[in-house]
Amino acid sequence: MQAAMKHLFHWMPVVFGLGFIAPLIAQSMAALGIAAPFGLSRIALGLLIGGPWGLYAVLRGRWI
Amino acid sequence: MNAAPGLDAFVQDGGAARTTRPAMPLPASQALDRHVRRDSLQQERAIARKFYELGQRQTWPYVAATILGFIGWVALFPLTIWHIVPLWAACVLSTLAIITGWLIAHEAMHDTLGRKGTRRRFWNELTGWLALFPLLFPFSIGRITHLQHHLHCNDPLRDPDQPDNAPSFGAAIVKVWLNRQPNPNAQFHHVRRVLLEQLGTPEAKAAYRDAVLVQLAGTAFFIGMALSGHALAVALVWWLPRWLALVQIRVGFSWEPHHPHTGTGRYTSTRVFRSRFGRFLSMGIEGHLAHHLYPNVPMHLTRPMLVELRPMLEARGVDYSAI
Repeated sequence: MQAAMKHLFHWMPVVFGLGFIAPLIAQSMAALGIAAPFGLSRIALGLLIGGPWGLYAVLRGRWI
Repeated sequence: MNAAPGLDAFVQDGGAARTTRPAMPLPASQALDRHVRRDSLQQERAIARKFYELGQRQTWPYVAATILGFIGWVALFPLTIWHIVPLWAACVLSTLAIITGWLIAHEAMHDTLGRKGTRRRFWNELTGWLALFPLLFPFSIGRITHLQHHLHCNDPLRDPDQPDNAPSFGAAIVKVWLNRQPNPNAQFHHVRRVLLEQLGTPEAKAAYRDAVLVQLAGTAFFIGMALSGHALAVALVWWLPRWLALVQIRVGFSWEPHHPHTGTGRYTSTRVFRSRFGRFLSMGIEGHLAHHLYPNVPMHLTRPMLVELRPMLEARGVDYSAI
């Protein structure tokens, strides 16, 4: 259980990036009436930003 | 005098010692004569007892404010989702509610709102849990870590607040961010070491478990709300206000009163200062020295108590020039 929790917290930034930041980007763009570039949907753009950003946080140990 | 309920018993039992006893022992190397120091301490205690008794008659506003504030804070979610309250206004209100919640929970950490074994104990605990919840910080860990802070103030290894140490105001703000990054230097790991490796009590282990569960539950709530189409509401009612409140709490209530985090003595671990956040937002923290001396006196009385303690504390070398 403890090991599972450790893994979960280790990968939490990726989960947060995909589960929170991605929809936040998509819904913010919708609220501001901004379309996603390159024919992408807003949520696809959000996932493209949120996922790698979370992975960066895991690998670098900081979000910025 | 209309003493607080149970005060007589309090005076006689160990609780009395906790109220009037110095939070830290007097160092033997003080410049003052031993008898002068003893008399001075007795005067300090008499003043502290007066403010303690006054504070015990003024606890209900803390409890009422917490219950109403928590209901209001929860209500911000539907109110913003239904566009009754604008998001920017909810963000401001939520930030103020979370900051105030920490201060009220701080009273409960010191059992100011109801000591163990008294009828008011339930309200002390309820207030603590409700007031700290928006910070995603369970009251159990809040109380243990804060009492460790009082016991080992400014000790680099044993003070859970030590990671807030920074050379300047700007650096302290940056430190709030850096201390919450996903790496081994995060403040949470320092707290974990204090709880599990230094304390290791069943209460400390339970508090650590509570913290993990609350963090998980909070993250799950953020994600659940975002995936159900309410990302903006949860971001501006909880996620961002929590960060803004963390800056105020860590910088205003932890870094500023203890800067430069070097003193470990009874009269040197904190200071008399003028807060950069102003009298209103600093919410009584400018009298933090009085709080460290007598932690069971509620925060709204620490400044007047500090004023009355002035002759004794100045004799001890405390600098009052800031107020």
